[in-house]
Amino acid sequence: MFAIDEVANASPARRWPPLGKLFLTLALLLASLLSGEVVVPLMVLAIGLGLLFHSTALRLPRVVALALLDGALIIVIGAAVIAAVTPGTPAFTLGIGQWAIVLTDRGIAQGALVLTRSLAGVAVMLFFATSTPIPHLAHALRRLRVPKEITELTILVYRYSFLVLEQSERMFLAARCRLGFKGLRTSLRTFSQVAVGMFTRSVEVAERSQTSLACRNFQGDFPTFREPARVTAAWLAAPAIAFVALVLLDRMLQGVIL
Amino acid sequence: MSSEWIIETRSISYAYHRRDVALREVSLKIGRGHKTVILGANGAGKSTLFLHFNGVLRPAEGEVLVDGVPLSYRNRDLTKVREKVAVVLQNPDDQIFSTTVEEDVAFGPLNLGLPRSEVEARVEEALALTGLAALRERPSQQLSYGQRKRVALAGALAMRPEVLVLDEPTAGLDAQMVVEIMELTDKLAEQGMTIVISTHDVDAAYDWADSVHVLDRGRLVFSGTPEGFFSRPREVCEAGLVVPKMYELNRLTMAALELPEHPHPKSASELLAKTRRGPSGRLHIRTRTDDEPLPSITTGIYGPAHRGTAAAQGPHVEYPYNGLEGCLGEVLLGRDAVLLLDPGLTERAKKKIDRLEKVFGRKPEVLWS
Repeated sequence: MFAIDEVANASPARRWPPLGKLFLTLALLLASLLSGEVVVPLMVLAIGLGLLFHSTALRLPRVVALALLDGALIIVIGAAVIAAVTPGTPAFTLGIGQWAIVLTDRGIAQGALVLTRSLAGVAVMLFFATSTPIPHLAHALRRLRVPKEITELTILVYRYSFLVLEQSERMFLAARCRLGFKGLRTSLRTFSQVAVGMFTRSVEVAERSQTSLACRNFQGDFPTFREPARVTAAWLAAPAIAFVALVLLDRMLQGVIL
Repeated sequence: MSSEWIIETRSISYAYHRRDVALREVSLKIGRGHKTVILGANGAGKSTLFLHFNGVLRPAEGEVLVDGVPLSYRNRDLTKVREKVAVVLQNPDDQIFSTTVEEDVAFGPLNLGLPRSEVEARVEEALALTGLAALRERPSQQLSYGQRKRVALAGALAMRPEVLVLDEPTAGLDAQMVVEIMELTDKLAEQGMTIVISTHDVDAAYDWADSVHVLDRGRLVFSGTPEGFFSRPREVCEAGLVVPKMYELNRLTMAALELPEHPHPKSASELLAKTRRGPSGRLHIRTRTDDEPLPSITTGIYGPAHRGTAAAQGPHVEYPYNGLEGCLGEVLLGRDAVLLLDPGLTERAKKKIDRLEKVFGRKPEVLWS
């Protein structure tokens, strides 16, 4: 969480209007999901990777990169399973000892579609996450007239998740210093104690925050001081054009590839 | 007509959950423009008392007056009180909600519904005062504890309060940052702001405070001058505190020299003024922040204005912090010294130099430029 937050704040795409980025992401995701052929998801994947490269120069923190690779591996396995279980005309047989896995033409097409759609979705969403700090997202939500309570809760959850994270790190460190993770049973007991401790401390933090909000004349919402860039007509038009172009391309390709 | 006392409590009592008594019939007065310290051990009720000053807590008995007017606990009136009396909590993480520094500093002024230009001006001013201008766009969770503490302070200053109430402002800070915070409070006091702090640091309180109020298990046990309180060692001990080192050093030194304890020096330079006779050196005080070369003599810095300048990096800057104390010590030892003084701290420096003459009969030659 710390890592993604740092990347988002350092991203050159942070200056782009968050609402524009949100529309672009949704348009690309939707076009990819509505496609019947792999070409459009592949194009969305290419666009997503390009945007991600611009946003992060692909210098993702190791923990984020590992999580992504992990996710990609699951997607690949999932696509392979779909390819193997979908009925159709056998196109490829893979022998493993006395077993044989038969991939059908429909299965391969379906698996490829799921794989490309999923990877495209991850790339596009990751671009949004690595270029949009949460306050900018909250601002976009306000513009979309999402209920105030939800937006303010988003901000508070975001802010306090860091504090809870710091607190849990301190508690784990304190436990480690006193051999709290020596053996499985001790570790399980320590985990449960930390979990209970986190709960009680969260309540304390909430009480103190309430006091602090009162000290600072809190009127029920979190006003924005430095507003992110506003969405322009170009930022509304570009996602719409991209969406229409990708859908039309998909329609043209229907039946051409297979 | 404004009252002489900007905050007054009249016999206030408060209990958490109606059973844990935190304050018992506390009556005290905070002088306008004064620097006041609330002393007390952990759990003495200092933080609870502070939250009565701005109406966050309402006393079960008694009343709180701000500017001579009893507090009304209606929302609209409380907004005005909290604009006037800003409380900075001990833990900055309790106070910082926004995700970037400037957003958090702007939080209070925006809540007051001020025009955009006014909010901008206040944020600029508060960031400059606390030395946070370079960090304005940084996410608050990426700051160090000391920086977060400054953000919390900047957030309060942006309200432009008449009274700044700081709960343990120096707790958890490194020594240099403590000096910077104390200098900042001196500067604000010189601008006419009333400053109230709670602290365990009796040494800092002894030198800094105009007056002290001491709490012991929810009761007010002393109100008066720091010397007045620390001259009662039994009461100091009963309140869970200790006597400041300078107070003790003076007592023992005077006993060894067979001299009277009075007057009580509050700092090393005052102790020197009291005990050492002989010619003084000259103190050159420079308030300008230009790069004109300094004479090759011992130099000290007092206040943030000079700390980032080229002059402050000079080879003779032996007192980059606590420069006023250091330079006065040098001068009383008969050596010349240069003090790079923040213009906002001129009166404080004059007052300290005057006290050397009035209380201890030593008048160093001061050359202002």
